[in-house]
Amino acid sequence: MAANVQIHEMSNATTGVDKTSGTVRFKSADEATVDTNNRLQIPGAGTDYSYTKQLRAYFNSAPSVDIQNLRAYSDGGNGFGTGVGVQYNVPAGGLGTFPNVDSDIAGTDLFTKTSGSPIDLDVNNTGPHTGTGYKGDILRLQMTVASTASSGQLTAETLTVAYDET
Amino acid sequence: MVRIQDRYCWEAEHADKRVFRQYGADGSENPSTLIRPEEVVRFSILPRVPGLPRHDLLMDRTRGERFVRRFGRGFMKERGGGMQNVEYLQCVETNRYRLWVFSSTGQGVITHPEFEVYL
Repeated sequence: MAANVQIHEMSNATTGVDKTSGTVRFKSADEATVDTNNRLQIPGAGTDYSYTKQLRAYFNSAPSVDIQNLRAYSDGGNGFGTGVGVQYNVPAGGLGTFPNVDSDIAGTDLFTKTSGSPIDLDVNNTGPHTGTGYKGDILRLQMTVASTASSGQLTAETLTVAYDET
Repeated sequence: MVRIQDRYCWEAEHADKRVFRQYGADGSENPSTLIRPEEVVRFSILPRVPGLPRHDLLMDRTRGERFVRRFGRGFMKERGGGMQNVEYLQCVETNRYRLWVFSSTGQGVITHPEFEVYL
């Protein structure tokens, strides 16, 4: 059978929460709970930063042979509206940067990464990946809210993770 | 309910008529690394649920056509309701082309052997 691959929201390099059924929600607190507490504030000037979200692939069951080419990408269009963005980086060493921070990570605009130029999640923890457990690199995300943003709850954006399985 | 990544399985036939199947009669799984690419004359992607079509590739080895490899490509998407497997492509690569089969619909797409399908 094909592997059961999950995406986990990490609280440290090897511990996370399965997000198969739960939204990844950017907040002003360092926690994975999906609720409307700890919402991001629109600053009077400058930019407000969410706490980072660090995502990593978890093989709940092993592939028949291996998995490689872990990739992540957006749909290329920022539907969050004026003043709201998402930036990312792939922390060197692949073990992430913990604890999560709400200061500027100075990352790359996530919406510049599409299926034609995806984020490579095999850079530090190179494949092919076998067995079970956490595999590949950590994708660190952070939402940015500028003073030009409008208030209200945002419609979800799409993040895609793809992998090749043998 | 069969997971989307388990809706299809593979079968390879060698020139000596031996057939290698992903799943043995006892349900055990064989890795596709058992296949000897240079000897494959037929490679099939077979449905494991009703309603999906099968796909068969016949290799004309006399004209230089060769099986290269088979792999699956999984797609997980977060659209606000969790990171779910929304599609799983079965890919059969020859030296001339790739056949991509969508596990959700059974649709087949043929591309250049170096073309990558991302959804």
